[in-house]
Amino acid sequence: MSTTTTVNPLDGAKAVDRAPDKVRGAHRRWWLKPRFVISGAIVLLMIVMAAFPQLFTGFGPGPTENCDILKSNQPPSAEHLFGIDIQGCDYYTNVIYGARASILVGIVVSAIAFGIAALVGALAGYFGGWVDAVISRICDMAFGLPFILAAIVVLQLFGERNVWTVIFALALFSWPGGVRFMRSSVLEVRNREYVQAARLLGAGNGRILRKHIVPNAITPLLVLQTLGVGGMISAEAGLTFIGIGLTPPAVSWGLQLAAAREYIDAAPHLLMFPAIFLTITVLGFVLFGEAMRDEFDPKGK
Amino acid sequence: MLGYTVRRILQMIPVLLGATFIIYALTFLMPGDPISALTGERPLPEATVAQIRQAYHLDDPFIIQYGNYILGVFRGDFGIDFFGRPVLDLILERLPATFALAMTAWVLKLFVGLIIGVYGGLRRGQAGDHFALVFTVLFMGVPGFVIALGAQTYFGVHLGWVDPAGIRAGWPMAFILPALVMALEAAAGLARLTRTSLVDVLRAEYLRTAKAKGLSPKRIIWGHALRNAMIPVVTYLGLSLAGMLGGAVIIEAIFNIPGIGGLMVSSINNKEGTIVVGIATLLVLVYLVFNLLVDLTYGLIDPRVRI
Amino acid sequence: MKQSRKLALVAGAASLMLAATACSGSGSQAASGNGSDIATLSFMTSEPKSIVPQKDPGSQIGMALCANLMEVNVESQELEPLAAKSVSSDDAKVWDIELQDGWTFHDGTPVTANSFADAWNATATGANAWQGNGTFVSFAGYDELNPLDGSTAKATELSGVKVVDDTHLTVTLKAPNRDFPAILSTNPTCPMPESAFDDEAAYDEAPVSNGPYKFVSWDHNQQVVMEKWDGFKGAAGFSGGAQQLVGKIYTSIDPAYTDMTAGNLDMIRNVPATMVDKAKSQLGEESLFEVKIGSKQQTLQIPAYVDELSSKALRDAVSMSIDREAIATSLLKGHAQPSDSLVPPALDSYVEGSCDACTFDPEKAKKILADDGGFDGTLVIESNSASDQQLVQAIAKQIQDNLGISVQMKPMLGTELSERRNSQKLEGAAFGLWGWSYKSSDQYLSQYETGGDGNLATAYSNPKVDKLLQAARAEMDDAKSAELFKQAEAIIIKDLPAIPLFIPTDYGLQSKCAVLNDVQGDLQYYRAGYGC
Repeated sequence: MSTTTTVNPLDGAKAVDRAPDKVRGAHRRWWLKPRFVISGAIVLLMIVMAAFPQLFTGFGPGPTENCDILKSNQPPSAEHLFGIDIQGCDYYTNVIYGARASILVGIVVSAIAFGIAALVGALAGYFGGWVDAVISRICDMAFGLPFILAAIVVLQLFGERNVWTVIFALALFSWPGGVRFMRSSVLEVRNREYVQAARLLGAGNGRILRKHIVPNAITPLLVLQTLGVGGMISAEAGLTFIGIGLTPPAVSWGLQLAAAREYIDAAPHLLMFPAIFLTITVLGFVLFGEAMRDEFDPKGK
Repeated sequence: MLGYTVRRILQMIPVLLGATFIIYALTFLMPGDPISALTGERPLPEATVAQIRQAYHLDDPFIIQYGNYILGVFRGDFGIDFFGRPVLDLILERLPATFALAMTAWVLKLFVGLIIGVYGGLRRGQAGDHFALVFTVLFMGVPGFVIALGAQTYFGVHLGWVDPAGIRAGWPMAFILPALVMALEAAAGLARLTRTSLVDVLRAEYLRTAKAKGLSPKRIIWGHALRNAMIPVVTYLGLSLAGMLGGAVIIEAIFNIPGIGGLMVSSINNKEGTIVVGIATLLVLVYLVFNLLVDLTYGLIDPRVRI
Repeated sequence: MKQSRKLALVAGAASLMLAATACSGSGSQAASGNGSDIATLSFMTSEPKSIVPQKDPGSQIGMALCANLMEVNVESQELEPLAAKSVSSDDAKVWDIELQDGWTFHDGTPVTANSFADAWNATATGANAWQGNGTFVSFAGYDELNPLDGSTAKATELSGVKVVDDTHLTVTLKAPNRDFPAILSTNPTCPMPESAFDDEAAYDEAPVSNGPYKFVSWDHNQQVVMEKWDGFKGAAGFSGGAQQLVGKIYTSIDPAYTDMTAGNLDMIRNVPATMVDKAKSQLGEESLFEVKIGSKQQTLQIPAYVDELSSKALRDAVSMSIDREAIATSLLKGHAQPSDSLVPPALDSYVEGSCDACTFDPEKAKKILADDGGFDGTLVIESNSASDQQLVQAIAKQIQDNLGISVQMKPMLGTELSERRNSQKLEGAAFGLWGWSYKSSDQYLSQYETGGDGNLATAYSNPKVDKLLQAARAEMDDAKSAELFKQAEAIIIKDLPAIPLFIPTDYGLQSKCAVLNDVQGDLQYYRAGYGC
């Protein structure tokens, strides 16, 4: 149909030369760009908060300590910046500690999904044929099941649901989307000039996959999964919200939001603070993903 | 093409079997007894329990139960619930509302997501691009139910533009608000994807070739870039429609839309396995059909993808 | 278990909707189908599993459709004969029932003794698996209809039910029960016309009964419409003010509430405490209806078969470590009373403060526990994840903090919890909500009778208690019976098989046009008056 399908050996050679090298394509001092600094700071802050919440609460009492049921549900004050929750506990402490579950679920699930999708998707897209057929059918099974339905049914198998149970259920059904995605990226890349050139030059399948296919096809997946961190954090909140995610005594933004829903008028602060933290976190991760993508794009500028 | 389509349809069979098997097995493993759910917390007399178990073959081995079920499905018989109503009726009764909601949301998402995505992709790095990014991500970041409850209260109660709950007003008035909320939540993903894909394509070698050959920028963008950028987008769009059919549990609950989501949750809670599996089977089928359509569409927009 | 019925009711609260035009206040939203001027009230309900009274004992729609033999009169708040002329017995075991003359079903066919007997036989037949089945456990002949081994029943009729003539039947119970007239006021004892048995499927979709409201239409997942039946011969106290009743179907109470704030709904029952204050500010004080009689009780059930919790001192200590007053005023915002007995105060067997261990005393609690050798296990509290999670959390926290023992919450699906209760697989205490189907001490205390209704939860068994309860049921004199129930409660509370927690206040919400009523602590939508 048009020139796009024509293989120009010269172009290919040039591409082979350039494509795999990430570092050279990156902006020097990329880490000083404002969008990277801002989003990176948010992500870092949230990760530190998740790992060491004590840093933010002045090594004071934990989320369920030092509560007074008689003070249930108080608006923010000088003493309690975020007010007091239904159980009479300091809400600031609770929201800070809530970061751990959300961040952990978001990152671990996305990382698992990313890993599986990158590997399996590349295999399916590159080799095609029966490999593709088998992988695609398995993906269809996992992907065709409505996510919420499958997650609910799986989560119900566990009497007690902690962060790892939720991660398990979310990870179980969140990779097939990435596989399909990776597969179609690979399909697009594998006929590119530089790949064909590499093949002509006698590179093996493993090498082509490693050096040409994956690096060139993985960015959309990376972006998808970075968006996915936010998505998974939301999914955890959503599952918890409908009562099948984390269960107390776990502390998470999802649980806080679920509890706050009933008090949406009487105590809007209960909804507001975890919602703000959740939004900022999602925003941070997505912007970070975008910034990373722009800097490390393998396809050159 | 015809051969390919037939082959794909045949491929659906193992997928359907596999998926229903998985969900059937999971439902089977779920704690809780459907019979005890039948009567709330009042224990039924043992005798009655025994008789019901027999009538519904609940004492058969798992694999026999599944086998009987799947044979029924191929005959179009999805079984009956514990109140004697055919499961297929229960599902079909609720399908129109879910379908109307999902389609409306999907179309809205398509518009919002594509416009923002293409705009961002063409103006990469400019202020408008950054603004579009933050806008879509904000909707993605704020918990969906917060937006839903806010929209319901503001447009439904304060302004009174639409009924805040229920579908008595019919399409489109009853669906426009929940669909918009769903669309805005989902638009971020589509917009980011479109933008990313477009940026990728715009930087690809073949476009340089096209440029070098002297094609006009307009022709390059509309003729080549968008077309190629749409490949991953079409995958996403096709599959997200299937996903939306089963994914609107919270929105359905908040706006009181009697759809599949609510039926799904309540039947899981009551451990009504036949309904759960029935819904799963139907949604998997819908997904497979969309999947096929997506792959067929590939061939139309990208001739390099051989099918 | 009554519990379930109440819970089912909560979920299925029906809504009264005012068809707009009649009520100027909400006129703009009138909408519902018929643009006429009839007085319409709408109520919140969930999509009914069935609207046949025998198949859903808690159905508000069933209540409106059916006129029972006995019924509570809203005006007198007393149980009075309705479809019956009289229900009487000398020994509380054999009961004579005489029907009103000339009563008919909505379709004009006469209501006869057979209409009741046939319906009861069908409901009591285990193989039919109608939810009302359990109501007939106390009838002679029930066991023959429900063989324990799951085999096919040899009988098809309750041997205890004898039709004497068209307007006269007798019922023989397995054991004397003074509450029999009250049982006759519940959904499962409704009559059914012959046509119901000719085409069951059709009857399920469009039941014909004999109550103050007759069935008009059921638009699945949308609404159930009923209208006042002009052939109803009962007194005004047995009916309601609306010409048309519309059960609007909601998936949960939140959208129903929102719809009410938008003027699209008239009545909601079982309003959670969290919604009460919101409603007060958004809908106004007059929208709140407080049910004066507390018919429900929350307890912490301690199963007898959980060895870890078999120490009476431990149960006492746990009970004393819960500051009920503090939770009631703060977390529950005063929408509940601390409970200090195994029955609610509204029952005549209630003795104030019968539960010694229900007084908050953390010091004493710690001491008792220490003297008993302490507790180094984990107290598991199982609960229904769909309700009262904040409350359970607060209770768990109090026990943990005040007693210094480890407490673990275990929320789960209602179906799983009830299975674990019924199959005696609880691993620790269970948070329970109980309510009466009709106002009677027996409805509460039989939970602690061997094999009684709800006994599976605690598996408490005490021959002395069993004997006292049997005697109390057989005693026709109110005062003497209450005295026997009191004696039984005094024994049970000493053993503390369940720790009394709260008597929650029941609320309903009403629009300007609806005037809610309750009958002995139960808010029934169809009894509402029309105030526009």
